[in-house]
Amino acid sequence: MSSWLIEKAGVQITVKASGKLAIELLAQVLAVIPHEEVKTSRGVRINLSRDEDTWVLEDKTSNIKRKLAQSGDAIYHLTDRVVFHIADKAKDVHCLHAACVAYKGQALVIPANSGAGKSTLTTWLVSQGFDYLTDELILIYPDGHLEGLARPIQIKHHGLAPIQSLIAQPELVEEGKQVTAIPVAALSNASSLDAADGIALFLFPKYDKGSGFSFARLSSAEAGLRLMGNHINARSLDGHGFSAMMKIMRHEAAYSLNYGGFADFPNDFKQQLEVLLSKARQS
Amino acid sequence: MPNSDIYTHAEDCLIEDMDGESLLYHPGTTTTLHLNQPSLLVWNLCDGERSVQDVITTLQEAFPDQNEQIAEDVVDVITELREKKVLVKVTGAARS
Repeated sequence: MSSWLIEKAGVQITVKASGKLAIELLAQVLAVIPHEEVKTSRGVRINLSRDEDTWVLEDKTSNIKRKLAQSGDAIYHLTDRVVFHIADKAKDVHCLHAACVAYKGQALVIPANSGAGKSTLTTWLVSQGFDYLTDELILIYPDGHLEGLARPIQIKHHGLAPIQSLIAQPELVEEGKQVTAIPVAALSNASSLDAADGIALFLFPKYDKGSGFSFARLSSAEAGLRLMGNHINARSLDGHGFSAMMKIMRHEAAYSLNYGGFADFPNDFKQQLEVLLSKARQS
Repeated sequence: MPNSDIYTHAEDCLIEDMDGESLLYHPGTTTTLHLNQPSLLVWNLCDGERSVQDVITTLQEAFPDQNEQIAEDVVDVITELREKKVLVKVTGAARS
């Protein structure tokens, strides 16, 4: 048995893995998430084990137990519990349901509900050389820096086809009924970061196969409205974090992106984003 | 909606000016609303003292060329904001 401690925003989560296969899977999940091996549990306790052909995931703190047939789903539910506990218990940080990549230390934040295509877009951005922070949860601290939970990118089935060609090492991919988990290492030229210096740009995506491409600047009010829909620990914060988030939205540019596939992207779309991120960095 | 009704802001609502547009946040429901200029005017006038008719009259005096539309618009806005729970009706006991 091995135990690893993850700590984010003061929330401690100990994940124990029993058996060789569980230890290997957990090592893959934690590959780019800061963690340390520990002898005793601290904080939230989550266990992962294998029972014949079934993964057994137990959130001991919440008294939740799941049996899962496929490793992709084990990764999905394990990281889902980690995200839940961080968002539930974090103090004095804003937790956003958002993906995030970075360019020269400045974050491109991608808030969106499940199914909007943020993980698919994140996969493309990482394959283009942006640093991976997360496809699910970012934490914004009072001093403006942010951290991501750099779990394996999790793609729902309708989002798989566009990113298949971006996977350089398919043997690292873990399949599941609900999602396919793609470690960053499976993408060519991928790199990851735990934290970014600050936010430079917001991007609100919507993937709709066959819809074509549109990329449009949003007013700060439109962006603020969308952002609050993805603020997942508002109730824990003073004033629900509303004023603090609106202060950020008044300062940073935001765009909507509708796309039906990467073939719809202009050839210089990556460069457009880099220019926008660089401008924000300079201002 | 009787025009004698009086409305006031729900408790703890927060409003932010976003480069000339307004976002209104209701902590109780964790709802965020985008108020355009006319809706913002109605929101501001619903101060727990003015009746619906007072709000209509005030706006008609300020915008005389839109007299006819204002009455309907005010009722529509107040209805919507009430449904979103950011405006609450002042009861008889609260008034006295």
